[in-house]
Amino acid sequence: MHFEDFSSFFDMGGYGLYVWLSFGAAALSLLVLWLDSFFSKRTLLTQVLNEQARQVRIKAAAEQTRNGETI
Amino acid sequence: MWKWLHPYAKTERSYQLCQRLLPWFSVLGLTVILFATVWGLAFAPTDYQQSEAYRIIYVHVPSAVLSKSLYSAMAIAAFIGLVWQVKTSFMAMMALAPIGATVTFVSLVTGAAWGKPMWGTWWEWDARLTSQLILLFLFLGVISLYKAFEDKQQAGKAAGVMAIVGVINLPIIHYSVQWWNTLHQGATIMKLGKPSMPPEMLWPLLLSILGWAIVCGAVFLLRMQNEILQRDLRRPWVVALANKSSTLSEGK
Amino acid sequence: MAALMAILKRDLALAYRQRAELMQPMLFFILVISLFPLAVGPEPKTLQLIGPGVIWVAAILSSLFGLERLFRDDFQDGSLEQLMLSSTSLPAAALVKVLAHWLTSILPLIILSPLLALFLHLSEPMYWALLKTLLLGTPLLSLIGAIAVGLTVGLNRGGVLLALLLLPVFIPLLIFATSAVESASMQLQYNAQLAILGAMFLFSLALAPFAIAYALRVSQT
Repeated sequence: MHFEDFSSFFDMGGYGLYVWLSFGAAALSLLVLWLDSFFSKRTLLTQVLNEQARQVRIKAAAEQTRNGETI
Repeated sequence: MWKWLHPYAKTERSYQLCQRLLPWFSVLGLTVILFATVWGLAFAPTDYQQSEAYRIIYVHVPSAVLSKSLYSAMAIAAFIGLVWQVKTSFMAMMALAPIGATVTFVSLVTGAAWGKPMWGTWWEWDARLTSQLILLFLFLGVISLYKAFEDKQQAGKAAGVMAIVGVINLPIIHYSVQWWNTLHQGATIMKLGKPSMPPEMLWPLLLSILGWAIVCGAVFLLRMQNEILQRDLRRPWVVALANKSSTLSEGK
Repeated sequence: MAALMAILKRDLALAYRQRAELMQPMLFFILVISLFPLAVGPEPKTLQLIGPGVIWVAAILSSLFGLERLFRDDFQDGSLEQLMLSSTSLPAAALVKVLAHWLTSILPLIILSPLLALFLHLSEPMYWALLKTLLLGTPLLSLIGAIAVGLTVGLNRGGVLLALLLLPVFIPLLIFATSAVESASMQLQYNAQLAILGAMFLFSLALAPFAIAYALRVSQT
């Protein structure tokens, strides 16, 4: 460990603001990027399922009206 | 010779390849990046010129290196898509673009944060930062162009042309910005002290670059999958996939 | 009143769905401003001199792009005609649409302004003056711009024509806004310029909606 204690690590020789701003911005950007990608995938898969369910409902409704007519 | 690549022109094959690679890239990327960052932040020695502020190098250089390589990758994907009419190549191109824009943004912010203690201002129109800013504009331009088209086939081709025009322009832009910078030499002098870097500082840097590359790779795999899903939303294989993943999560 | 709220919500929702399109004027704004240091050199004193003017001119030019959207989509799908035929007061509806436009096209530019002030090395008092002029002056861009857009909405190649119509009208706004920031740079008071900007704003706020409504009726017959 190059630093003596945690407070000097946090302080970064007086440059703490800039160092942590940089690392923070980098971490945040990568995190946002990853989250966006991950949740988009989720949303897309849900969309597929919803569309499928909708097709099933449409089919069922068509069946019903057809049966209704024959009776 | 490239026959082994042909199956990957099909979206289903590409999707499955991404799925297989994803856990490896994610875990490996996260591990390497964390390890290298902690090494650089806490264990690397101090620089006698810049004191602890130099540690910003461990995020600034990886993001800058990746911004350029991601743009090149994007341009290569565009080239393959345009010349061989491979749709999955355009999807790869558009999967790369937001990642490239993000890392370019990070390189700008970290560059500014490094500039403040070193040069005294948050922003300086020096050759490197200006080139990175233009690179960010190029990424955003490709993304905007793609989003402007309804027909995604057309969109891919247009964005592809734009990406290639950009990559040809990149050395020209870089050279002219350097020339402009030496014209106005009085305003900006920057020292990085790059050539002689002691190995204790160099290794965490190289490892950081590797870590960032793998993490970007993982995000690329995810975004590639998203591009594929968006195009193939109604295909039976996608429906089957969605059903399988939903029953998996319900089973939990 | 409920109808006006509905129009506002609709415009905001539509803008959100087209947010990729909204990004374009923002990118243009940043790009144009970035060109100036490349053109005149990065010397901070030079940039400070031209900075406020550059930011204002870039804002005016960027706003022209967003203005084209104001009535275009509604005109193309017929809802503009419906709006004009409905019982809702057309000037009120126009004012609401202008508000939606300002929120979605111009407010982002104002939010970006600190970054651009940084690019051009503006000092802090200069930046505060710039912000005040932007807040007072940009609604004018939307209000008066909408009049010209109302006149040219049916035209095919309205783009440059819109600029030709509006730029002369925006010159007083530009002069007073940049004069305010210049005074701030010399540590002088700039209340007079702000007051004139405020007067122009209130004047157009009161009259522009009627002018917009009239312009729409003129161009739609």
